[in-house]
Amino acid sequence: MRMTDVMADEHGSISGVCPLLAVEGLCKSYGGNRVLDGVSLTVRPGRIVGLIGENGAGKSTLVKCILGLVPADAGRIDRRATLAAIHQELSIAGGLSVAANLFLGRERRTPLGTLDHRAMRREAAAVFARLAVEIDPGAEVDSLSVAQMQWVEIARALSIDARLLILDEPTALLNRDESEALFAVLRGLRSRGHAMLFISHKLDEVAALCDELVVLRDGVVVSAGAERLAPREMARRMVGRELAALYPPRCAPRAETALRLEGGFGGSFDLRAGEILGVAGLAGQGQAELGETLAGFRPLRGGGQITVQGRPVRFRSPRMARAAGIGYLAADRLRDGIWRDFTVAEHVGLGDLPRYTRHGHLRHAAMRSATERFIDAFRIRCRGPAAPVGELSGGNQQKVSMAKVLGAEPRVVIFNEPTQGVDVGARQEIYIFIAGLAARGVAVLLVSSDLQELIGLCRRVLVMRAGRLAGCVGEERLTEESLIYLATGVHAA
Amino acid sequence: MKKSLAACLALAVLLGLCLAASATFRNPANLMNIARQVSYSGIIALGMTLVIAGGGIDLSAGSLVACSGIFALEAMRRCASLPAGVQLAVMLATALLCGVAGGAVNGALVNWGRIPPFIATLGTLSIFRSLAVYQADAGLIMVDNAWLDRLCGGWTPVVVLLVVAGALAHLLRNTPLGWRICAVGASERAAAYAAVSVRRVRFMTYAIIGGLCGASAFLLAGRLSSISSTGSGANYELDAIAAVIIGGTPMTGGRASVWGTLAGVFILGIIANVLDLWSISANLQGTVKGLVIILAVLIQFQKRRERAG
Repeated sequence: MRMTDVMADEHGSISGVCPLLAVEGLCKSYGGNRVLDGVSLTVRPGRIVGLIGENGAGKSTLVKCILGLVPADAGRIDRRATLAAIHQELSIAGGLSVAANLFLGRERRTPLGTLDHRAMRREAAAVFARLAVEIDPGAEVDSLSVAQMQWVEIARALSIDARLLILDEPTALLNRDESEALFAVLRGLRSRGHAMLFISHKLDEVAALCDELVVLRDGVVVSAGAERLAPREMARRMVGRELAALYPPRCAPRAETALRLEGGFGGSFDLRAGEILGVAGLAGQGQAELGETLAGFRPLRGGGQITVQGRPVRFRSPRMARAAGIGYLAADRLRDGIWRDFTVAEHVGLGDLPRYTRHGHLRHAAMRSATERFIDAFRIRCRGPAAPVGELSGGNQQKVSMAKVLGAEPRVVIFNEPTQGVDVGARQEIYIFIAGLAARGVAVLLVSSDLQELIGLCRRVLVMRAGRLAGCVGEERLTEESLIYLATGVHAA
Repeated sequence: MKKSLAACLALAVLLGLCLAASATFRNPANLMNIARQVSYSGIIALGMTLVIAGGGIDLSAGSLVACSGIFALEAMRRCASLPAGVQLAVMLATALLCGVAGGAVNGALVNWGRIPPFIATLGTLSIFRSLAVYQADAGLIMVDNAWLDRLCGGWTPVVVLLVVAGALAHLLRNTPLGWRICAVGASERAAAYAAVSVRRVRFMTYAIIGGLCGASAFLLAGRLSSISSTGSGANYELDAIAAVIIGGTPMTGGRASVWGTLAGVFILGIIANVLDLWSISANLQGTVKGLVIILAVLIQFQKRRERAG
């Protein structure tokens, strides 16, 4: 209680005069690609500032600059308070107790130098009491729910006396009630003079919680102020960029159905040969699971039937899916898609070893010539088939990992975030390639968090929410706004 | 590829120096002795190369040699009334079967029991040795078979070592299984996403080293005319792992060099032999072996740092 009083005093003396955070003219480029271009924003005590923008608009780079994790190229950042960031990926040390996590790195000690568990538990309990949440400081963090871990993070921020909290998609993994409870705490903190930078894709939450709003588009602040905006208007300001040139022309799908899902993931859909069908949704709403299920990496839970080329299938392994003509391109290229030390030729070979095997022996010459063909077709920039993939750029690594999948000539290809971490030039080549696949009659399921990419490439986009197919947006209504509405559950008026 | 070359180069230099320096070393009988001596654990080192390339480790190999040897000789003793040739066939089959079965147990524990290889094979190290000791009542089983002596004498173990090395090098380079082993070792998840059956591949590596343990036991029985339940195969797994490391196969898996391992096997054998010739206390030989292993890894890490820099 006393601590709160002290903070209120401090707050009284500086409030209104001095922002806790002032960013001015911030610029940041990655390899010639300008991510932030003259961004300015201020966060004053007792205010919650919403920061919205599409994926790739520069939000996370801005946060990294503010936290000092990456140096800015130009501009000024004034931090006049202790900052604490609460990330989507929680930074909690598993196996330790809640109290140990709160005091990690600044453990309380007894006069003898041993850990003072009692003092830490007492202080932890006091912080939780301030937050009005019930968590046992002695509990192991592994036993907590995601929402409770979020509390631990916030408690840690408060226990280091952070006056400015940066919350990056804090509700991504929370249900409605948990989110409401979080907002109640955030409002309580606001009334005590804490400031918050609140980043979220859930625009209705932003509208309900934030006092000010900063909209970022392509690294530029396009709108800032205390003006109250409806979610519709926020979405409109987030989008709006000429992109026609980036995407190849879309061609019409063929008549035959390549893949059908009936009654799985709370819905059904057909994927036709030559079609690029998008899958959109907020982070972690089951899009990746849908792709992995169709590719045989996980069983289809809760009933339903997958049909490939008119034949019902039940995949027990990725090999079965592969044999049925389904190729899968993993999202996390570095972890799941490539072997850094392996050569380009080895990747092509491993993509379809049976094809390059005769009488139990690998045909190295066939593999090499196939690799050369792929290097040409994908315009992979490398020294040759024997170049280790680790030395290629991100975009070229992605192309190798695509070559690996497409070597088996699948009739259905599932792309999971194919352009994540890929620069614009290589991105366009990947788009052209995906469109080329479709033109040859391959059915493509494109899971992406980049809405522009989906709109640019697809005629239809499935939207997922809470692990279920929430709906399908057809060509006539295919806008970012309609996708965001469907993904967030905010329906167009 | 470069690392295995380094090991081969080191072997050539070491061999050259020793040949030049010592007439006793030059003696063909001594050279043959070295080659035969390293063969038994060397065969296992070759199998270990596959296991390590696939991201695993097998600590139970030495115990499995004793176990399959004891059971093979026991089986042979039970059909003592049959002709010597049949006895020999029974023994060879039992040794190989026991070896493969033991390897299969390891593979099953690692793949379907989801036990880390280090722990699973630490457990079977104890089990296999104990089974051998129990069967032989902590003693040894003698064998008297004219065919066995003839078959396993002379250059046989060395020929087996070289043939196995050639076969495994071929497997790694030219067959789908070989590529899959390295793919699994380099990144299990990437291999799974490339529709490689990770479990089947890993299982195969343990089955192969198991079979090689059986082969080693068979050859060892031929050389010693007995298998000791407590002493046979002792520390073979450590010698094998040492040879793999010296040969330049990274402990993290993903790459394998059978020829490097073979060089590592001979480097260790020559050093042991030279220390004997210089009448350096056998008790100190472990120190030298340890220093060689550490030196080999230090050099390898140095190289990796240069490449990263």
